[in-house]
Amino acid sequence: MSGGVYGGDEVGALVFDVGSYSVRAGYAGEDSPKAEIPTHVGVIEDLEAAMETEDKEIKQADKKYYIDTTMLKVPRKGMEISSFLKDGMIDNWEIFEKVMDYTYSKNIKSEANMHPVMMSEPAWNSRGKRERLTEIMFETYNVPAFFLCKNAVLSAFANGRSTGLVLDSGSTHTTAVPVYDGYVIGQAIVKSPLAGDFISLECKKLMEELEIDVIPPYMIQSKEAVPQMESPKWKKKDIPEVTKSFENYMVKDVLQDFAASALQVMDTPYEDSTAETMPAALYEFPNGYNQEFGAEKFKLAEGLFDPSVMKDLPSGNTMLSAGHVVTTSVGMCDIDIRPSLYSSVIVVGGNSLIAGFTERLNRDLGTKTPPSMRLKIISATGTAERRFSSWIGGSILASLGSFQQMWISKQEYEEGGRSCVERKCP
Amino acid sequence: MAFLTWQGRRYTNGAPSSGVAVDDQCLQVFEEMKLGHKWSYVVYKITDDKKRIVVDTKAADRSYDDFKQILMNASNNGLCRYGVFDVKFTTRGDQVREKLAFFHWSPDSCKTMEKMLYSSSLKELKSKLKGVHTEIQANDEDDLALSNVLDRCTDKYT
Repeated sequence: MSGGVYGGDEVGALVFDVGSYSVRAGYAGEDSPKAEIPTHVGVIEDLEAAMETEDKEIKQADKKYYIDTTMLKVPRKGMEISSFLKDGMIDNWEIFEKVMDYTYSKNIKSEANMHPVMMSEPAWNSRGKRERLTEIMFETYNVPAFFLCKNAVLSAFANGRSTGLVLDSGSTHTTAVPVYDGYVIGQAIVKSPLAGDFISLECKKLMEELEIDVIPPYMIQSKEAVPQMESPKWKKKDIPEVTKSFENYMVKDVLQDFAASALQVMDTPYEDSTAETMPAALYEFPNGYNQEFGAEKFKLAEGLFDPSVMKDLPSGNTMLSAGHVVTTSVGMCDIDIRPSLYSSVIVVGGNSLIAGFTERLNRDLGTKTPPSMRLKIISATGTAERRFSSWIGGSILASLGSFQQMWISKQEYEEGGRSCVERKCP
Repeated sequence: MAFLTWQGRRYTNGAPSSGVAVDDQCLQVFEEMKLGHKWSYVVYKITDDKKRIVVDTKAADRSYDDFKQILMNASNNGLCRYGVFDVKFTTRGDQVREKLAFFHWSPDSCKTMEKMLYSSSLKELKSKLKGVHTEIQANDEDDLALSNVLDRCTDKYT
């Protein structure tokens, strides 16, 4: 391990930050995670192996897992893509353990029992899941010490605040989590599905409307450069038949890239007349097709701030825009602490990197914040700081010599059982 | 390994804490301020080895501007600080009041390491300083404005 000089009392702790898009892993004390592994993995169920067992007891089908970008993004017959998270919490423990095994052997390259582990969790994690995770870390991985920390608190601390509202716009959710004095105010957490995956979905709808075929790179053997808007010239690769979930995942991957490079949020609510005067963005798809996106690039991103512009809305839609998520959450907090929340709105998460996100948020909140309160939006300028804010916070905390007395040690776990996590990591 | 046999561990019942210890002197100076109004302000810092919170500087008969200047000097060097200031003001009924305001000075310009260290060690210090009237989380010069501090101290009297 590299890592600079820090704090003394070298403990070689590991930090894991589980997000809906990827798991970040690395050594405490370093500036950025050593590895980022997709939360999605490829699973092939070996049905033949399952059929052969004619014994009375039904054996589980053999499953083969494909983890990490290079393994995941290869077309394989019958490979389904699934995530081990549900609603931000770990749901499929089998896959979770596979990902951990992989990380230890390929990225960390060290024995699990040598390093204390600091892990982040969503602010709404359930007690049962926290205890189960603690049990797995101590029993399966035999870690010498463990600590679980709410990701919103880590983000707030890393931004120099013990009180603030953390707006985390990630892949599956945009959430507002009020943190007061380092405590999460659980009953005032507000979640909205208007996040990265939603943007990808909107992009997909647009492509269908414009009759653009989004061809993921795995299907392409070769391509030729073509002028703008002309039909692409490309050769299809000879690939096995893939599952729908794999195809969707790969298409989403292309659309994510499209969203990151072309989309932009307007400073003010969307209007056709203004959007048309703005410069267009040229985007080339993997198969060589390229087109300029003018008003569309604003309209697609507008859904994050004004859900009413979305295409074919389900009736009775109550999805909250990014600004509403913040105001609703603050509104549920005690009136005395509202000013301190508005004066520290901390923006994190990969989806917040869409161009113009914080500027628009500033404008939307400005019109909603009571005039007596000061509004301040804090966002790191760097991509890594924004996406990995909770990992970085955990990395610093776990590297502090003084933090040693805070860990749940193996001994404590053995004496107190898995419920000790509630006491030590509230 | 050290953490297996560590004695005297403490339990947190709330926010995660860095475990940085608070020096007895911090409390002593604070009590002198609270009971005898001996000092106008006290500034605390975390030692370079990141293990203890100690008194950085304290002074008697100084103005708020002096206190602010000390905090600004720290931030110019990329450092965070904690501080307590004895705010004196006159109520509408012409009564002179003194209130202690606690500051968590964590300028946005500081490095993440510094900010993380001070925010995660805050709880331990605050739990020891009993009798603070208001806590101000200050992240830029505007937060340190005297008007802001007075607002926080006088809201019950105006």
